[in-house]
Amino acid sequence: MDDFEVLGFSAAEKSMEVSLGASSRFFAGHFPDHPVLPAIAHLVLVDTLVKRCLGEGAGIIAVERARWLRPVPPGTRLRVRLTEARDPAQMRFAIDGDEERVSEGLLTWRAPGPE
Amino acid sequence: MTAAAADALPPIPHAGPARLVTRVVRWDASEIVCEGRIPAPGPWVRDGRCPAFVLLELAAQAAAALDALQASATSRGSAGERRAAGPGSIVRVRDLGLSRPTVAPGRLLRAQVTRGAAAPPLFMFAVRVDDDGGQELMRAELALHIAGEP
Repeated sequence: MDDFEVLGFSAAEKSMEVSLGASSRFFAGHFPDHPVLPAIAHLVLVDTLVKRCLGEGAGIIAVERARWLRPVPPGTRLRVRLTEARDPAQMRFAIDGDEERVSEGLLTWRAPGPE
Repeated sequence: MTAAAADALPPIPHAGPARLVTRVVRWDASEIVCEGRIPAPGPWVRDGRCPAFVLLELAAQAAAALDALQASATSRGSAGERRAAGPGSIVRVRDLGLSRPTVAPGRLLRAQVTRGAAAPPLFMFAVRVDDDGGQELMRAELALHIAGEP
């Protein structure tokens, strides 16, 4: 998908910096006169980071809890981060804008393998 | 049941590839059932598959449609016009479980949404999305911030 540009990635820090341009399909129709990044696009970014860190077949299989804290307009740069949780099958995620957190949560990931 | 709206287009502001809900099957004051599809090609499809958590958006659109339909039913004038929902957004999710990591785009899906507590502009819903064979694909509790009429 070319709906965001990866500006930087650190496997050691489990972090990724991305840019979301106005031409990203994530904003198409959401909403016609008021483009805002859909909540599931936040999860796509997190899922992308999970795959980069753990392997292409890894991914989100559950979200225990998540909060979307403020709208993300086109042209925003975001930093996506994963951190360990108490349960090794889970990870915390956080997405920050230039100055403020835009979403965060706790997810369960699946290891690479057949579905 | 307050109203039956089979075949009605859901009154939500999503357009183009962002609109996942395609039809309201039935609704009443506390529950709505909608059909929808993940469009392909589209922003959520990669290598022919779609992450299953995208079904959360389908469920959220069904929830927004329920709110708009009920608001229209309670404030409907003599013209009988349906009110379109203003932009709404998912603000919180709990216990989102997926039966598989990805789903096939283009397949018919069914979202069932039950209204929970509300403290406007926040509305809680229990949601479930099944495939066309009735197998559960996703279940969650979500909170929407619904701005109301634009």
